[in-house]
Amino acid sequence: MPTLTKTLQLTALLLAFSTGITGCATTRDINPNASVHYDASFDFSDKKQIVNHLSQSLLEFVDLNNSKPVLISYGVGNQTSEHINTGGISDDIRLALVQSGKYQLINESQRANIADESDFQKTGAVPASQRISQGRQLGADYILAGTLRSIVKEQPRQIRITKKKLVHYSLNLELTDTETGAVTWADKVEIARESSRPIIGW
Amino acid sequence: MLRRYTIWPTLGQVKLATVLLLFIALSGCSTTTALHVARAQHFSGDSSAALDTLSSSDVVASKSRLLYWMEKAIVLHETGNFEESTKQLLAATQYLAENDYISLRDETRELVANEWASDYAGEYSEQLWIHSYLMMNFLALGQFDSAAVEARQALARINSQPEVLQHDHFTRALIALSFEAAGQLNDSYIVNRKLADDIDQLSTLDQILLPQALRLGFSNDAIAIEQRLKKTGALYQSASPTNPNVAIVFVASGLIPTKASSSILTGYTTRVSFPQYHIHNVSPPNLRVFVNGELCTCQPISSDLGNLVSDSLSKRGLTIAGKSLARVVTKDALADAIEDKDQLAGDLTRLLLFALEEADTRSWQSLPRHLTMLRIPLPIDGSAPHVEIRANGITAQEILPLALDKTQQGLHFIPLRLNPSY
Repeated sequence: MPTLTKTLQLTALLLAFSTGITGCATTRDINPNASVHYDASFDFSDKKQIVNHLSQSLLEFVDLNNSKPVLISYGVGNQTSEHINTGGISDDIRLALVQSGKYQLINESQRANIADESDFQKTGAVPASQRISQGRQLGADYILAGTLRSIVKEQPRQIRITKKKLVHYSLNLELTDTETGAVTWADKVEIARESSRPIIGW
Repeated sequence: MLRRYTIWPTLGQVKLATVLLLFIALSGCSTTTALHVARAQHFSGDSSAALDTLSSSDVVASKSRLLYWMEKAIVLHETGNFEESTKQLLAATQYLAENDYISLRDETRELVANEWASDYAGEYSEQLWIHSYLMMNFLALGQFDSAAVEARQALARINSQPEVLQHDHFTRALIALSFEAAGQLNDSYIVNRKLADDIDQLSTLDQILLPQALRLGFSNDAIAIEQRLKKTGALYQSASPTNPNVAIVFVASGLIPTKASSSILTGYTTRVSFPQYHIHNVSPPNLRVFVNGELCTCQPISSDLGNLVSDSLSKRGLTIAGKSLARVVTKDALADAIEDKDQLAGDLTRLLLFALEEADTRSWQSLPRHLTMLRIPLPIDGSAPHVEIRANGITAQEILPLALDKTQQGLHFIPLRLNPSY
């Protein structure tokens, strides 16, 4: 009988422990400007850092011949080993440039829709006075394009209890003059991060 | 001394029963029946029934969840639903990344039950082929940056087990192709150069390397490659940098062998079971390509998935043997300890542990035996060509007409599954 009591006590203790470690689901708000990383992979904080640096740098660029140059963005290529939506980076840089009022941005992604709308207006459904005038679209002075790259280095095999990973990200952004083909502005952001995770788990 | 057996269980026997039930629970019931059914439906031509069978991941035990994603991805890939196939494969890669540690729970289960009790993580080659199929899917979808991302992940996998995985020439050619499609020509050139060093089809690789060397401005390399091609009489249309139109056909043929269970009796009441592949040499199908009726001189690059998966299993052989040995010792010690208290209980335990010893024969079974890449140069005149692929003399696929103006880099990707009997 004492054995049974002990068994019951142990079972109760195990149940209490497992309930404790199971925990409860929680949510909390995080300051979007705070730097938060769960592992070495590319995340929201990295995007924020890249966008802030590059848009600031781009706003400091002065075109002496043109007070409000026209830009077309061809996005940021992803040459990393992660599936990163680089569209978010180029969209945010574009947003910062538009909001600054220093640049005019061509919306390349809407060209097909503009053409469709223009065709529709020519069908006669829209009064002539309200139709889109032809041949008035902006021509780009510059192409904005970049590449996100990463170098990943993992700790070699050895006896250890954690696995370390070093990731180096770099994003290069360039402004190319559409008339001359010359790169008139370029900048880059680099982020290097080391993370470690246990090799043994439950 | 007479053994005393009674009808009513003693407290010790109750405890023993509890322990044994625990063993059974630990060994798990890693049900994969739905996967067998789905495979049979898919290969008998009823892929929609196969997808119905695999409609929810709950049809497979959580320990075999990886196989669910892998098998479903193949059915979706072979029915042309590359987008959904990609989702399944990305779920599989995420699962592997999240479970990339030694699980104490699984190790304990394996020690007292068998390997079926742990989560299936795939053989090294199977882990690589997740990336191979992702690359094919992304290329077919025209998402070249994503294909290049998978190419980098695949390279990392190959570098982690080079002795086995560097023999997967198809995947290595696919990695180079993914870089090429994404416009990352330098990376593509490096992978192709290394591949050319490892395979005996130098002229096939030289035809790809020549235009790349010319575009990258590697004039010395280009001269050397051109001389090699002229010497072998293999300077074909595909090597011309002025002809960017190339159809890339990924041909899947045959069926990968299944894992079998083998056992060694180490005594009257102890046995060790281990998985094994019985591999018979099978040649890839003889593929002949006709473009607008003309026989194409393009050479295939193939991988034998059967040999690769068998080598991957052999690479784990030492680990499997070590675990089996530890399991035998643990089980024996456990049965002895129980036997000391109660002979009947000890005998029953030994019997149960004997029955529980089962080799883990889980594997990705809907894979083909061979994966082959065909690089087919298309006419430069801009007309929509008629491409016919014959496997072992029989027309396997006719592609008519091929749209030539919509893809980047002039590359057109066509995954093709031959009847498993090829």
